[in-house]
Order: sequence, then C-alpha cells, then structure tokens
Amino acid sequence: MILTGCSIAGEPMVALDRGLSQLGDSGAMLATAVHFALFGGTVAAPGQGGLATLAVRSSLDGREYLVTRLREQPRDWNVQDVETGCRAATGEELAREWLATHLELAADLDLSDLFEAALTFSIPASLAWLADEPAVREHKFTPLLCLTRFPAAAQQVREALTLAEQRTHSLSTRRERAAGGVDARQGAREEVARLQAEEQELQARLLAVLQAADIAAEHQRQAAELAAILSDTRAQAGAQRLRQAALEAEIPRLQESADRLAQAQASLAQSEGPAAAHAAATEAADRARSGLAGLQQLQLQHGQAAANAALAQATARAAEAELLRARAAKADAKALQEHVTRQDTLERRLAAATEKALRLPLIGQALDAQLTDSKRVEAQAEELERQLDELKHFAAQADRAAGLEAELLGLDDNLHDAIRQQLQGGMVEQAISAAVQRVERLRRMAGAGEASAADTESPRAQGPGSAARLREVILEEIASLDTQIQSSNRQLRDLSTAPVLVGQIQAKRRRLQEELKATHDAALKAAAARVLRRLRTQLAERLKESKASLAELSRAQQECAAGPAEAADLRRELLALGDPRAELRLLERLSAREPELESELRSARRALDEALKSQHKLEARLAEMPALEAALAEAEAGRREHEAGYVARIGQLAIVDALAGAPTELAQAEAELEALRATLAGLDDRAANLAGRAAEEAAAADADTAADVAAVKSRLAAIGESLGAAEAAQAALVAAEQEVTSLQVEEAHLTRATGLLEATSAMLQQVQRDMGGHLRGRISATATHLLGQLLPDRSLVVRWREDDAALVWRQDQPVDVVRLPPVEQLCCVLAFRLALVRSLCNARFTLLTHWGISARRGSIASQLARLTDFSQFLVLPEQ
Amino acid sequence: MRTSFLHAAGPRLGGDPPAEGDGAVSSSAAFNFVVDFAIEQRSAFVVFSGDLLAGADANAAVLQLLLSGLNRLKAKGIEALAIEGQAERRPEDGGLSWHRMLSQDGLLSVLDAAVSRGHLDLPAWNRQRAEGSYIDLGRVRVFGLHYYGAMTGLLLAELADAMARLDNREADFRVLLLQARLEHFAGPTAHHLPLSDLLQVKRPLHYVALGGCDSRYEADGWAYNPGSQGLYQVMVDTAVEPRHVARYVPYPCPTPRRPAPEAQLSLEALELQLLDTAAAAATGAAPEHLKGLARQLLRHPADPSELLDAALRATASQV
Repeated sequence: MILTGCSIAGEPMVALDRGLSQLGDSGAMLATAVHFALFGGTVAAPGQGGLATLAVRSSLDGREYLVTRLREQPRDWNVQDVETGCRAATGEELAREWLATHLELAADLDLSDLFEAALTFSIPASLAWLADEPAVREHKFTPLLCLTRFPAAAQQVREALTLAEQRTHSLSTRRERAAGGVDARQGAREEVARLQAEEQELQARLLAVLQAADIAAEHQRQAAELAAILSDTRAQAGAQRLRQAALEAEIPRLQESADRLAQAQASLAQSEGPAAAHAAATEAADRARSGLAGLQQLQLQHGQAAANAALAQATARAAEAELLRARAAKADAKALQEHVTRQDTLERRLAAATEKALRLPLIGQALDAQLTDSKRVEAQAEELERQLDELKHFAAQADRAAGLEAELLGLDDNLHDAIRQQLQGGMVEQAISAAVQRVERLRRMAGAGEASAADTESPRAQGPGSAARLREVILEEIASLDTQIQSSNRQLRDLSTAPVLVGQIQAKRRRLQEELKATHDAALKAAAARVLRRLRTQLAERLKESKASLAELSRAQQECAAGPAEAADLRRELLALGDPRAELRLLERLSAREPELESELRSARRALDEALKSQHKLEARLAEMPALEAALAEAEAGRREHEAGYVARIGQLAIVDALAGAPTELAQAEAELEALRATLAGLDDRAANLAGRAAEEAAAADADTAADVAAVKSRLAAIGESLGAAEAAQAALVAAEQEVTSLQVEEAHLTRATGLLEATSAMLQQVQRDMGGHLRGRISATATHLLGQLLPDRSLVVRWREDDAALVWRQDQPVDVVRLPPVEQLCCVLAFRLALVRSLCNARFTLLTHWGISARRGSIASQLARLTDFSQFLVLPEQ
Repeated sequence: MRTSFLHAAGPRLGGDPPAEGDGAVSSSAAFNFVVDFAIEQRSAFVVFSGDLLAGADANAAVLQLLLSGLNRLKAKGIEALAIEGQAERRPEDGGLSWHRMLSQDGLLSVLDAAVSRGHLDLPAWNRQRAEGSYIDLGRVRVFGLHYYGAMTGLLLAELADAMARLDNREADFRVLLLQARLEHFAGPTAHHLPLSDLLQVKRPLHYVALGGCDSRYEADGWAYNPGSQGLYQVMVDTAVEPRHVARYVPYPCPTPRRPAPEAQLSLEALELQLLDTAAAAATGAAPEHLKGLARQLLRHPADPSELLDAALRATASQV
C-alpha cells in the first residue's frame, strides 16, 4: 500500500509522490493524520473535528481508496472506493478489518503499534539499535515479531500445572479415605449370600402352599357356576308357564273364527250367478268407452289438419307476392350497375386527390428540415476539413519522434562524458592545489635546511644525511612537483571547457525534451486524424443521401400541387350522382332472395296437399262414433241391474280372506300347549338335580389352606427385611469400591493432562526459538537483498541472529556499523528497517522522523530510486 | 435455441518474457489459435474475460496482431466481446485505451456497467457510442464488469438487483464476464472473491465467464475460468438441462503466466507450520492435542482452570 494524497480538516487534497519527499512544516500534521486515519491513532489532526482523509493505492488489488476518519467517532471511520464511490468499509471495526486485510497485517499485530514501531523511525535511533547490545535489540524488536505471545502462553501452562498438582494431591487424599471404607464393609457380601439362600427355600414352600389353595378355589368356582345354571333353569320354567296360560286363553277365540269361516263359504256358492253377469256388463262398457276415446282423438287431429291446410295456403300466397318483388328488383339492379361503376371511379380519384392535398404541407416541412440538415452537414464537413488540414502537419511532426529520441540518447551520452570531464577537472584542480601546497611546504623546509647548513660547518654536517643532502632531495622533489603541476595545468586547460559544454548540452537536452514532448502530443493528435477522416467519410455519405432525399421530396411536391382543386371538383360530381351503390345493394339483397322464395312456395304447396289428404282420411273414420255410443249405454244398464248381488259376494269373499288361517292356528295352539306341558316337567327335574351338585362342590371347597400361606409369607417378610439391610451394606461397599476406581481414573487423567501440558510448554519454547530464527533469517535475507540494491558494494551482509552481537557482516567478519562511512551506515539502517516492515505488512511507505546522518540527500534519493519494492519515503521536518 | 461460443481469459498479448523473442510469440500463437478455432468451429461469438493485453501500453506489433485477428473474426460475422482486466485499465489519466479504440472501430465490444456513487446501472449496448453493459446476440445476453478488485463482491449485489430490473424474457441464455479470483478455487492469492458473493447472481445467469487467474477451474457447473493455457468451448441448447456444456480446449503452445507473487509465508502460516513440525517431533502426547492446545493458548489466553480442563478433555478423548 502506498499513499497518494492527504487532506486534513477538509483542506484540498495534497498529492504524495513516490520516492524521497521532504515534507514541509505541515509534515508533522501529515504524520499525525496518517497515524490517525490509517493506523487508528488516538491523536487527531486539528480542526473540523479532526477530519483526516488519506488517499491510498492498495497493493492487494491495485485500486485507489479514500480512508476518512473523524475524531473519536467510531462510525465516522470509513473507506471509499474512488472509482465507484462505493463504501468498502464503514465504522471502526470494519475499517480496521479492511486496513488489516489490505495491509496484509499479521493477525496479532496492532495497527497503531505497526505505525509507531515499524513504519515511523529515526535514522540515528535505528543506527544506535543496530550497534547496541543484542539483549537491548531483542527487547526492542521481539514484540514486533509477535513472539511475546509465547512466554505469556508458557506462563499460563505453568499456572495450569500448579493447579493440576493441587488437584492430584486432593484426589489421592480422597482415594485413601474411600479405600478405608471398602475394608470396613468386606463381610456384607457373605451375609447377603446366606440370606438369599434362605429366601429361595421359603419361596419354594410358599409355592407348594399356594398350589393347594388354587385347587380349593377351582371347586368353589364350579359350585358358583352350577348355582348360576340352576337359576337360569328356574327362570326358563317360569317363562314356559306364562306361555301356557296365554295359549289356554287364545284357543276359544280361534274356535269362534273357524265357525264364521264355514258360514261365509256357504254364502259364496249362492251369489256366484249375479256376480258373473255384473262382470260381463262392466267389460262391455269398458270396451265401448275405449273406442269412443280413440275417436275423440281423431276428431282433434281432424281440426289440426284443417288449420294446417289454411296456414299452408296463406304461406303460398305470401311467397308468390315476394317472388314477384324479387324478380322486379333484379331487373332494376341491372339498370343501376353503370351508375355504381361511375361512383367507384369518382371515389378512388377523390381519395388520391385528398392524399396529395394532405401530403403537401408535410412534404414542405420535410423539405425545410432536409435543407437545414444538409446545410449543417456541409458546415460540419467544412469544419472537419479545416481540422484535418490543421492536423496534417502534426503527422509530419510525429514522424520526427524516433529521430528526436535517438538524438536525445546521443546527447545523454555526451552529457555523461562532459560531466565526467567536469568532475575530472575538479579532481585535477584539487591535485594542483595540493601539489602547490606541498611545493610551498618543501620550499619552506628547503629554506630552513639551508640556514641550518650555514650554521654547522662540522664534517658530520657534510655527510650523506646532512642538511645539504636533504635540501637537494627537497629541491629535486620540488622540481618533480613543478613538472607535475605544469602537466596538470595543461590538463586543466584542456578540461576547462567541460562546464560550459555541460551547460550547452543540458540546454540542448531541455530543448530536445520539450520538442519530443511536443512531438508526442503531435502523435496523439495525428492519431485523432484517423477518427476525423472516418467521420469525414460518414459526413460525405450523409450529404449525398441528403441531396438525393431533397430531389425526391421536390418531385413529390410537384405531384401533389393540384391535389386540393381536383378533390373539390370530384366532391361536387359525387354529390350530384347521389348514392347508386346503396340503392344497388338494397336491390341485390331483394333479388338474392328469389331462389329462397321459390323453394318456400313449393314447400307451402306440398304442405297444403298433405293437410287436405289427412283431413279426408280422418272424416271417414269418425263415421263409426254413433254406434259405439249406443253400445256403451246398453252395457251400463246391465251393470246397474246385477250390482246388489255383486256387492254381497264381495263382502263374503272379504270374510273368507280374513279368516282363512283360523283352523290352522287353532290346531297349532293346541299342539304347542301340549309341548309346553312336557317341557315344564323336564325343567323341574333338572333344577332339582343342579341344586344337589352345587351343594356337593361347595362342600369340597371348604378345605383350609389360608393359614399355611400366611405363615410362609410372614417368614419370607422377615427374611426380606434382613436381606434389605445386608444388600444396603453391600451397595455401600460397591459404591466405595467405585469411588476408589473413579478416583484412580481421575488421577490417571490428571497425570496424562499434566504430561500434555508439560509437552505443550516444551513445544511452545521450541516453536518460539524456531519462529524467532525463521523471522530473523527472513528479515536478514530481505535486508541483504535491499542492501545489494542500495549499494554497489555487495560484500556487506545483514545477518541477524539471537546470539550474535553484530548485525552487519563483511566476508564473515562482524562490522561495527558506527565505523562505516555515512552513506553505508544510512543504507544499512534503511535496509534493516525496510526488511522489518516487509516482514510485517505490505505497506510500501515509511516516515523518517530524523535524518541525522551527514550523507547528502540528493545522492541518497538516487540510491533509493533503485529499490524495486519500496517506493515512498516521507521525511518529516526535524524538530 | 442452440448456439456455441468460446471463452478465453487472456492471452495477455505482449506479456511474453523478453528472453523468448520479440515480445509477442507465445501469446500471439494463443490468440491466433482462439481466432482460428472460432472460425473453424463456427462459433457465434468469442468472449475475453480480461487480460486480452498484458498491459495498458501495448506496442505496435501487438496492436497489429490484435487488429488482424479481430478483423478476421468480424469478416466471418463472429462477435468479439471483452472486459478490461486489472493490468489493462488506465486509472491515472482516464484517456483513450486500446480497448476503447477497438470498440469504436466496431471490432471488439468492451462491456462495462455504469457505476456512480455506489449505484450500478446496466445500459444496453449502443453501437453508435460503442459502449454498454450488456449486448444481445440472438437470444443470448452477455453482461460485463471490468476489474473492480476488492469491490467486486459489493458490486455483485448491485448487479443482481439491476439484472432483476431488466426485461430478460427474450434472453434464454445469460452470460457474465468478470475478472475475479474465486475463493476456494483460485489457489493462494492476495485477494479472493467469496463464492457467496458470486452466488448472488446465480439466479439470473447461466454462465459466468471468469478471468484473472492462471489456473483453470470450474465452480458449480456454472462459473468457469479457463486459465492462461486454454479456452472453453461452450455449446448452448436451451431446450435441455443443463443448458450448456463447456469443453476445455488447451492451447497448442504455452502462454505467458502473470508474475508469480513472492512465496513468503504469512506469520500465521509460519507459526502453524512450525507447530506442526514441533508436535510431530514431540513424544508423550498426541500431536493433534499438542497442536490444538498450543494454538488455543496463542490465540486466546485462558485462566489456569480453563486450560487444565482443556487438557483433561483432550486426554479424555484420547482414552
């Protein structure tokens, strides 16, 4: 993640560039804002409720986001996607989660700690840490490596182990107490066994006694059953006696009915003749009545046939009249056909003329619109041509880009050479200055040696180490230096033109760069020309289409000009003609009915013929009617004459039908009475027999088994009580044994848990060591890699190990960082701190609070630009 | 309705390593294969779900290749559709991109939704303005979203709502082009699109054409990522279920992969790995119990009694 901008208290967003940036007076405020908005700092920037907005580019998805936070308002901390305007996170919890995710932060590291301890640092302080004792260094950096959790966890394990020891002690005490209880109750099991054997014996005895009691109960049950049967038998005998009394009362009534039946049968033989005559007369009357009903039906049909004939006659007359009208309409329609054809022609012409009259104003409007459009297109085309003309020279200019780039590259080479010469000139100048100083010093020495030689005239002073000899040597050296100075002066003269050349090349380079930029702009504009040319083609096609459309519209306008006058003439002519088509339609409807009317006329005539024929037939059959009426009167008279005899016979027949079963019933009642008398005698015998057997069974059930059962049960109850006490004692024994076992199991569990905790403690220490080693190795490797990018000297290596005092090594020898040149010191510090940041998160920016090292920032900036990964270094103003 | 189309995620034209030649060898072969295959198989259209180009600044050779291929497709009446991937977008200047230029020339339909102030709108494809969020090809409707990174999940909810507002009755088969790395499928990468977020658009869509990940995967018979080494040929028949069958076709030559992120374990992963190793080497206790207890201690500090109870539970289960 890098920072792209910052806004404090609603001020406009200040852009933050990549590379090394020296922040001005507002730098401290910016650091506060970054801490506050991105890392959850508690101190907010001043003004507008501490509002701070940071624009960042996430390394996770390469997108730009705005992180905004207000002072102490958890819900006013939000992250917004710049492109879409969507809220990516709202509220403190989600914003922290979003930041941790996009910073790829280790789970246990606090955002604020990361900012304060890793992302913000001072170069001198960091240098001091690098050179400090290992213990101090570890104390500073271990929390950042998230290793403090391991000692805390180990402490928890130790406390848990102490607790486990206490519980083990408590458990062993309880187990010993429970074992004592087991020993005290050892006799309970034998007592329970003895009592159980005795109880089994008593149970067997009780079983035998109970079997005897069961046999007695069976006899008692049989006696009760016999008593019940006896009671039923007596009840049946009572019912039979009631039936016998009823039959004895019924028999006299049945005898009287049988007598009346015999009398009625005798009367029936006497009334047989009158009844037969009555029946014959009735039959003849019925036949005559039936014949008369049929003839009355025919009489009705005759009336209907007469009505049908009248209707058919009227229909035929109406059809004949309609047929005549239809034939006349057919003739009239032929005469009207010519007028109708003329009307059609006139109407078609009127429609065409009306359409032309309506189209005329529309065509005028379309013509105006088309003309306007055509003029606009022409203007656009002209404007386009002008733009294309303007862009033509850009294409030529764009072609120069490659040449300018090559020239610029050549100039760069020349510039490097000139700068090298300039630097060389400076060095030669310094060399000349040093040589001149040395010559002066030698001359002073030579002067001093001459004075000394003049003072001492001793032979020793004339020897090989004498002052004179020394003077000679000095003079030789001076001469040599003079030669060297002269040579250097010549070289300096040769190089004196280098600064001027550098200035000239740089000026030319700036000019070329501007020219190249203009060429690039021209290339972009030339690219636009292609789009414009395509547009020009489209406009030309559009203009052509517009002209064709104009011609078409003019032609149509001419065609439609006569439309209104022609329409008025045609309307007048049509008015004069009337509406022959409607008349023709009416006549055609009438004439179209001719076949239908002919058919209707034929049908009516057929119906009339049929009705007349039916009428004649019915009249012939109705002639039989008077004879039938006379026969009916005669039959009625005969029936009335024999009616009294017939009625008497009907009464006798009813008596015979009602009393026909009386003799049979009488015989049955007498037989049933005899059978009842025999059954009653049998039931009385059976009742006496059952009473005797019931008395015998009751006597057999009187045997006494209850006393034995009670005695055995009493003994069993006594044994049961003893057994209950013994079993309670046995249960207590078992419970004590179970408690001992349970405590032993618990102790074993606790022992295993203690083992697990001890193993966990050992493992945590091991993992802490391993993890520390891994992380230090990882940071060392990254720092060495960064150092290689920062410095041309690849022999410096960062190697961070817990036990080593040194962090920086060269060819396996520890290097004292403080003794390194300032630039190397700075690079070591930066490499180490950046590697630390990289191991913790993906933030690719740092805030430097103190520069503190005398290395020039300009040269450092170019070295930092070599870093491929870290891109933003914000230097805060030093306070 | 029966039709077929090709789905490619790449081929990252211009992204070949310089050592392999002039910068467009393998990717150009893959692109030509896509074009040839589409013509040979008479596909109705071809979709590129991001990464057609390796970056926003393609050189002339790459552009020439692209123009040639797209013109061949156009000549055969085969529509080419695409979305802009992460590397292809130009967020800084917002100027004319290659995609936009090709779209204006009618060679490539570059789809994208209109997103403004958190609201997503789905305008239909406008051929004159050469822009739109979806295009109807017969009875197939193709939607597209350019790369939205971590915002993709949020926008998918909006997209589902916007799709529901459209009249989709005439579209029997609906496709979405999306560049996102799908959770559980795309391997260990920096940012994932949760599958639950993608499932928000399951109802209105029949095929999600994914991109942005070099490895091939298929999710739920519905979302497909062909990866960098091949393409999917999708046969559609709306009269049967499932409505489509996707056949993977590998490229005849390897194509450039995106630069692999530096393999650096996170602190959590490193801790877990070291715990595994130490637990496996420990004696006297089951490794899983040791590891579980140690992780519990490191994540959530507990009082001694809770810790002892946890140890007892662990050993009890061992018994």
